[in-house]
Amino acid sequence: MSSGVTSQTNAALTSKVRSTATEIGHQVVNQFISLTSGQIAAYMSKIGQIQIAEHNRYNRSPLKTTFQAGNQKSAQSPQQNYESRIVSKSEKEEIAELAKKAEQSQLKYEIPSGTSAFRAIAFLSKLIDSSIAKEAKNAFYEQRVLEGATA
Amino acid sequence: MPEEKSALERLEEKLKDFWRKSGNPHVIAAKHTEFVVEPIIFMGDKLNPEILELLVLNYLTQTSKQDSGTGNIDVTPDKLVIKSPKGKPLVVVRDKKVIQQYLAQRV
Repeated sequence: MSSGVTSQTNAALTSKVRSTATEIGHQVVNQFISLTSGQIAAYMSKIGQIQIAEHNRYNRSPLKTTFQAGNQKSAQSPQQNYESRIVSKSEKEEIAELAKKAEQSQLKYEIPSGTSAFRAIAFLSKLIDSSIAKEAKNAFYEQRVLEGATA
Repeated sequence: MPEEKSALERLEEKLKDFWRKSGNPHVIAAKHTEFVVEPIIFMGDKLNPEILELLVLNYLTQTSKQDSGTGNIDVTPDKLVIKSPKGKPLVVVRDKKVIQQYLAQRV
């Protein structure tokens, strides 16, 4: 993949993460306060660009509890309801749209890609947290060894 | 026995800890569950610009306070370039708000 295409894709993914986080925040607050963790996780994994740390408040299966509640309200399963209301565009269309937007806008923060990024991280984090700088250096050398092995 | 993590994985964890402390984590409270929506640290071979922004802002705050002298910062009203001690450009910032704040601090 050429670096131009990579940077476009990365910019597209960044926008996607931001818009997804915002969208999910709004949707949950406005409409989906009773969604189960399973339903949210299913959507998030479908989008595939966000990692989720889940903390079950009551240490029980929320999936079972809320599916029952959902079935009382609607003949359609909550999963179908959820997807038909939120996922209106195909993922391909969304990515193409985001890539176009990213192409038009200029990135506010730029850093070299590949192993050079680790060097930049090490430099920036030296004054903030020395343990980040240390791991960035380790990652740099580790990646160099891996690249050497595959060359 | 748990598998040993690679340096890249450990770096991701450290950066994620840093983001949790200094960033703006989104907490979503659902009925029985709470979610923290975390950014992916590396996207392909690039650092997530959200994490990069956080690193840059903290770096600029530290350098202006301590005047450490590590690296050079070239700044114009349009662009701020953070360079390595050898003079190689490491990060380019085009966020005008940040540039203005940095210029105001130097005065």
